[in-house]
Amino acid sequence: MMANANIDNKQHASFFMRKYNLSKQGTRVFYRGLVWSAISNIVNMAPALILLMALVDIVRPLENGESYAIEPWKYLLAFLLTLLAVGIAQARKYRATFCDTYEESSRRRIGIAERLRVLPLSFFSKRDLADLTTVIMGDSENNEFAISHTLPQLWGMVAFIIVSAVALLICDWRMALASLWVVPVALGVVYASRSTQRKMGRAVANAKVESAESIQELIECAQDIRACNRQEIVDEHLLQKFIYVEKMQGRYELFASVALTSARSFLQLGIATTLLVGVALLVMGSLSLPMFLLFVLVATRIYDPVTEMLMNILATFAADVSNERLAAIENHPIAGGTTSFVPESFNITFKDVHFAYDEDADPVLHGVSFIARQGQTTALVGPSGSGKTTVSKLAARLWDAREGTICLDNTDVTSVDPETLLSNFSQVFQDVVLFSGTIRENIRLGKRDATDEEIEACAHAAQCDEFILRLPKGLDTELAENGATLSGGERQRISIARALLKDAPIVLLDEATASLDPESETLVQQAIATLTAGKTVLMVAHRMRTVLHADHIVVLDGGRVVEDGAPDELLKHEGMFKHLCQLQGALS
Amino acid sequence: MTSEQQKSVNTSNNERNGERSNERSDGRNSERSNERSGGRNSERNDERTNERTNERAETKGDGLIALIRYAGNHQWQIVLGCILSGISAVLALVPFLCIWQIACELLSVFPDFSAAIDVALYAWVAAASAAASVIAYMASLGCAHRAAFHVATKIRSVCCNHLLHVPLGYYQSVSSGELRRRIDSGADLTEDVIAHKLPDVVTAIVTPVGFIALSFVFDWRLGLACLIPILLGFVLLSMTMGKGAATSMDDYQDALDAMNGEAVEYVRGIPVVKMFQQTVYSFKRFHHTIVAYGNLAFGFAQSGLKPQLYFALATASTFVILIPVAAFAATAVSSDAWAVFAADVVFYAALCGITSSMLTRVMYIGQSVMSARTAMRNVNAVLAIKPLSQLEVPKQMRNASIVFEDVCFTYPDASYEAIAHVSFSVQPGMRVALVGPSGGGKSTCASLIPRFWDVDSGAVKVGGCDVRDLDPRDLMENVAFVFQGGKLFRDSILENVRASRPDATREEVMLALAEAHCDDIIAKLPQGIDTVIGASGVYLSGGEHQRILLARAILKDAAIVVLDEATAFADADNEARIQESLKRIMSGRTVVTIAHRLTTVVDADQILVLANGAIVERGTHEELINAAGTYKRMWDDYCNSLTWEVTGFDAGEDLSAQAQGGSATNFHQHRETRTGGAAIAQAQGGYE
Repeated sequence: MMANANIDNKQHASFFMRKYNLSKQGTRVFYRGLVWSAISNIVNMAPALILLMALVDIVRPLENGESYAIEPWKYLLAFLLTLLAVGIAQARKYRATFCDTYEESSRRRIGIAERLRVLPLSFFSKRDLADLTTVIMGDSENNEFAISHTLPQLWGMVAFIIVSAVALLICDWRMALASLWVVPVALGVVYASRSTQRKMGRAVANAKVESAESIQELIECAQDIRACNRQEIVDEHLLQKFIYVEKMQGRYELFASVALTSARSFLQLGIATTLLVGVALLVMGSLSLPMFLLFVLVATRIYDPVTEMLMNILATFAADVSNERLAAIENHPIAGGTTSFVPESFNITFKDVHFAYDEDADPVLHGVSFIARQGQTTALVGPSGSGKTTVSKLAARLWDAREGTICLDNTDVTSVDPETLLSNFSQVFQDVVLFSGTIRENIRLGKRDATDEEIEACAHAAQCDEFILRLPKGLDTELAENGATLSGGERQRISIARALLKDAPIVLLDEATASLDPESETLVQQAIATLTAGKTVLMVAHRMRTVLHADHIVVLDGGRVVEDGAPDELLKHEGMFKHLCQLQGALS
Repeated sequence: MTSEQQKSVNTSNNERNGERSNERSDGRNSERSNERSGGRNSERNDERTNERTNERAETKGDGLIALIRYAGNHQWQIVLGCILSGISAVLALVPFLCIWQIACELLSVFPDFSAAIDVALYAWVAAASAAASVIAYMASLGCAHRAAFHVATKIRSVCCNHLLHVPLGYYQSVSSGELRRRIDSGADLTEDVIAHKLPDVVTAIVTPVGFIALSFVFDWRLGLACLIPILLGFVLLSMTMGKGAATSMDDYQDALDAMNGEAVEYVRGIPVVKMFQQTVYSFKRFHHTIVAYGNLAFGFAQSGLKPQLYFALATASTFVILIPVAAFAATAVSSDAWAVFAADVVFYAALCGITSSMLTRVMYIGQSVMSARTAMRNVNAVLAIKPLSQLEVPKQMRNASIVFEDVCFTYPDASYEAIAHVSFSVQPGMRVALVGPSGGGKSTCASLIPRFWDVDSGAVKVGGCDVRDLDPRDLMENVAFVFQGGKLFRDSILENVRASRPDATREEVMLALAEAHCDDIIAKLPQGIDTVIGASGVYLSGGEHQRILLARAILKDAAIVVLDEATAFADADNEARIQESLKRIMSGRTVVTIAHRLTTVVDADQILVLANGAIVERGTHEELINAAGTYKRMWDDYCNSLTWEVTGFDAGEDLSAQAQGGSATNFHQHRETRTGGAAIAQAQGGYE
């Protein structure tokens, strides 16, 4: 659990570790990248220094009338040595920043994946999954780019600039000031623009999301657009969105480049001040010509690294946002509980349960109490929106109740680790998730160590034979993403086979699953019958005829239990259940 | 890379290339349209002109030129951007000239520096031109960005506009997310090339040219010494961007896609996988792709080490060459010329510093041209979908009849016919029900009526005219269809319903909503029928959604209704009420229904039983029951399913025993008893 370790270590973590959410190894790699970036920058200056020495040699004859000649071999040797140094520094830097950081970003991705594994299911049901993934993967990529291409270089550059500034100050503090005063000014300009840039950046991002959503809508609603002859309206609407994106981008770009241009222009002023101060000092006789030339060379070369630093700073503004979002997942609370829970009986008890899907959302359940007994079928009945599905989800701790308790075998479900608790449940709901892989593998999900015979028997009992035999490779047919090539009823039957293989003592069931594929309704019904035999069944029911012979009926209305009892009893008085049955003509 | 550069500067070449690509794509287009329509219909197709296709053909091709074309009347911004970038490159050389002047002056008056009077002037000129160069560069980027953003807008809107005119069936064959990404991020990917790389290419060309010019002005030997490493750098760069790099770049992208795909599956699967305590297993798969990607990225990065290293050495070696060359050159310099010579050396020493920054800028050109090309290919793939053909003078529908004449249809990329030689006719006001096993061709048949697809042979006639001869708008106005998976627009309920008949009054909309039993939905929404769907937490359940769509169809009041009855099953709690609404829609109209539950077909004027794409039986309910064929079997089966009940299920026990202890043999045996799945259901019914 790297993510946990990360949190535990937060107190002793170094500045960078905390700032960029790095692991221990990652911090080491990061420092290595930083140091080699700095060294490589410094080494890159070496040729200039040797050049300067050569210039001094060239200028000297003018001073004292020595022979007008330079010794080339000395310099050639010095340069070759510098080249070697440049090569080594560059290679080490490259390895430390571009190569080794991929390990760290892999580690972070794995950490996030680990974290997602233990997050409560409510975390997933709150958001669109595909969207969530895009955000996570996009942020991971941004983060990867930042720790490989931006951050070590940035901090290496900072280190380099500090070192060079100190060195120049030692050489000649007056000239150093004349050439370096522009750096803090440029930095100031960039930082001053920071909040506005962020705001504008966010506006661009929002505009882009909106335009992407509009395109998505165009594709998803194609039928309806055509049916309503709305092509022109949609076309115009989209164009407006795109133009808005263009406008926002233009505004952002204008502002960003004005900020950067003014910062860079300030930097160029440094050339002038260096030359002016230098000449003045030369005239005064308090500066040697070689020293002057040194600073001239510095002035022509130092502003490029500084500009690069400014750009890297701008890049980190964007990376910060991604990093924050990833950190939010890493720090999301997890649903805990004991992992040693072996219930002896399988009664499910709801005691005065209140629930809302969100902190500030309207409650969906208001004090629901009932008992679903072992070996019985308990049907949840009620108009749509009465809370039937919510109740069945709470039973398996897919969410935690806000108030009241839900017990399995007299143990509060919130005290049990969700995964341990779920080992007692099978679930057949309307939305079936299948994985790419063979049908066999998808069924095997129910019990990892199942034999091929067991899988085949379950597939058979779940009425899968009909379509499996039609497929070219039978059970070993590879499925497309989420089993897209199968019909609703076929997918449902695979999920039932899975549940059969799991053979859990409690079955949560949505009756409507049977009507997903009306052509094969009978088959699905038979499969469900097999699955629920002898189990504790909690069923979300829609058709009254189906539940007339259930053991126990709980009628919900507006999040409250309004009736509770055996169907025969309930039919004796004029209550909601009877009303619903009459409405559907189930009593004929 | 270099060929791209040439293209971008040589405008006359530009035009020629453009024309050529035009001709090519035109040819391709007409070929494709003939291919699909087959021999019999090819004449008919030639009659149809389609301006849209021709218009779009111009923008085909995946090179830079095709991209620039999208800039339209913003092209001047690209040109201006390039010019400004060139100016910036020239201005960037001026400070070095000033430094040369200053060095010359200082050295010639050495050691009496006070005699150097023009130094201050040159210092200011140097600073001013350097700043001007920065500003020109930024202005150039500004222009290029504007144009780039416009190109992205244009690409998006051209693609979206095109999508509004392709056959509806196309949408069923693609994943919406992928199609969106192709258009949306495709547009974004082109940005970098125009916004950054074009101006940088100009800089990369102007600077060496300036270099060469200056070499002859000052000292050609020193100039040459500076130039060699630059040329070396370019050669090394183009080697990096060669074929090998392109393939490993592809591998890298593949690994990235694989990881992202696995991530979607991992996250989507978590709720289920948790249910089965298999998170470790599914995690392993995801883990595997993450590690695979990491390793590949590592390898990819490492393969870049050598070129990167050579490149760094090339830029650093400017000095290695310059000083020895200067030293050798110095032997020939007389003592009078020494001061000027020294100034030259200072000048070149300063100048060669800019080579590295210039080379770094062009370093990633190859990469971004590559990704722009991929983007353009994706965009062109979207534009290559043939739009619905249309007669110049469309025919007019004469009545509300529907006729299928020996219709055959095969889905693109499918190996078998989805519909084979289907013929039937529906008189105005009659109702036909399509029944049959899933996958039998019911939905395909129904979707040919609103022309989601065009038939391969035969004809679908509505109101006495081939649907391909009608104005698509006209067809849509006269056919209401309610299929599964209908969508609502992100707009108010009022507008959503009104979309089918824009001139309807508020009262009419309310009436339609009431007829579709939507009152309870409207009642619970904060702003009633003015509530915007999808905004601030307003979500409808699948069934509620379906009912609003019904209201829309009711309001449309079209003479022909094509209906999938399964839409009623989306709302299990309100199924009966929706059935009622459906009945209301159907009364007094020409109706084609896809029936799933057979009770609704009993009173249809004609029942067509479709299996494997062909009509196997036809007639009224009674006729078919008497015929004792497929329909009769389905009917019996259906009657049994109605008796389903969930009880304690003693009956299930032996089945479950079979499931747990069953063997491969009875897995196959059971197949024989399949049709009589009814047998078991009957047994259950017996418990009633």
